[in-house]
Amino acid sequence: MLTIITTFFLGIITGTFTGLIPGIHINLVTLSMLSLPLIINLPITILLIFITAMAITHTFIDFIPSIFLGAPDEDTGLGVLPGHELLIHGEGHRAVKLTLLGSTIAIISLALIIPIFITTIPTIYPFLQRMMAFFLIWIAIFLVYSEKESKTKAVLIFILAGFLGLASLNMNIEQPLLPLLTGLFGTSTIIHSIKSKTIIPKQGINKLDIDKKEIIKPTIATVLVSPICSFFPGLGSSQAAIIGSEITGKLNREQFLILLGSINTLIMSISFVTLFLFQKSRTGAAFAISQITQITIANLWTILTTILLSAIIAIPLTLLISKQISKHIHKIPYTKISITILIFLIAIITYFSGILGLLTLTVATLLGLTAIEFHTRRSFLMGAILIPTIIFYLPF
Amino acid sequence: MKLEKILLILSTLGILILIFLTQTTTPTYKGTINSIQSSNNKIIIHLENSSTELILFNTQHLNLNKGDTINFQGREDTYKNQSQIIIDKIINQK
Repeated sequence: MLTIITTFFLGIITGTFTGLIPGIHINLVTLSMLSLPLIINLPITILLIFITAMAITHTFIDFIPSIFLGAPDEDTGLGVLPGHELLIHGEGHRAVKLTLLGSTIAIISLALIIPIFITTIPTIYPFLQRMMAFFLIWIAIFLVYSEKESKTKAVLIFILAGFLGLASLNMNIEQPLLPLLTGLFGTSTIIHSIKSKTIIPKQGINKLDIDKKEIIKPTIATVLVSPICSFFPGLGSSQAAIIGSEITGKLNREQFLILLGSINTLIMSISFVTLFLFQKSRTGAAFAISQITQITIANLWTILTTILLSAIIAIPLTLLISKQISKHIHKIPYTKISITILIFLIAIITYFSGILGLLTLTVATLLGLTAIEFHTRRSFLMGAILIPTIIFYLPF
Repeated sequence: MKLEKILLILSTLGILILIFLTQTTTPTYKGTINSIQSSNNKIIIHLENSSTELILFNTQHLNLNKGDTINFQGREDTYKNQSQIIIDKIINQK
């Protein structure tokens, strides 16, 4: 029992670390973990608890660097703009609370979604799998259609990102997604914020005052979109959030942050159920589990219990970290933090992916900056994953 | 020239360079040795979790053992319906 509790808290600590440090994704930890020889000797339950606790905590914490530092990962990329707007108005902590509210909604929604998911999805899955490429193409067209700014620029960014993704994924480098996604969403945002000479005002730490009616739309969007997007490869939380916001109608800044938080946590949670039902891993955490064991119903219960317990710990933990950062961030020179993070990310990528990884990072950063200058939604940069996935699933 | 145009040109050039590099560089594979067979100046290596055989003709100065992790480059081939990689370069990471 002591081993289980220790493992659980170790997972929470690791998830906090991966969530807080830009560029260190749980995929990196899980992949490193799988390469360790001692993994074979550890009981399956221990590994499941560690991976799940880490993954769920990560989805709660990872909005903190996205909002306070403008350094997101691929799941929180869209949270940068509304989150950053609130930060500039001294409401960074409020932005984190909104995403946290979303994550909490996701955990509660799981009780409703999982039974429906388990009973209906296996019936339609063979059809969806045959039509996967066409569904993904339809989603790509839908994303372009819903673009409010220039559609031509959106298509251009999407296609260029696709070519970049194809080149990076076929290149002889370790962890190709690390430089690719860090460049598209992380370093480009940081460079842009350095260029903009962002000054962070003193942050307020107030109670979250939000009308209960405002929660309804993002909740509906989450429940409708997350289960579907959770087994479409190449679709992240950001794309799911756009589709969800289009389905439910216009969402304000606060509602969009709630939606992002809920979808981010829900997609991670459902990925374990998807693994149980179809032996398909949609997230790095699910992939790691698939490499360790064939998931059983007993394993699934362990995972679901860990999800719930992790959420109970992760909520106050995220609040505590966000509060501390809010209290001190205005005292620290923002540009210096940004430059430090930039150097850190470059060092990490050079270490893991070598010179070619650094080149990929540079090109991805340039494309990310192009999207920012074009004022195009950054989710089009996910063409880097979507286009290679569409090509993979095309039946000809 | 506007910044967005400069960034677009640089991104496109960068992507073209990356595509060029994927066409010209030889991929390096990694694996753990499951078994080794020696015969007639060649070594046949089987890797864990892979059905492809690795064929090594230049066997000098190599001390390979079961369980060693190797990085290798080579060209893919098929011999008697068996998928093979003829190794050009191999590094034993132990």
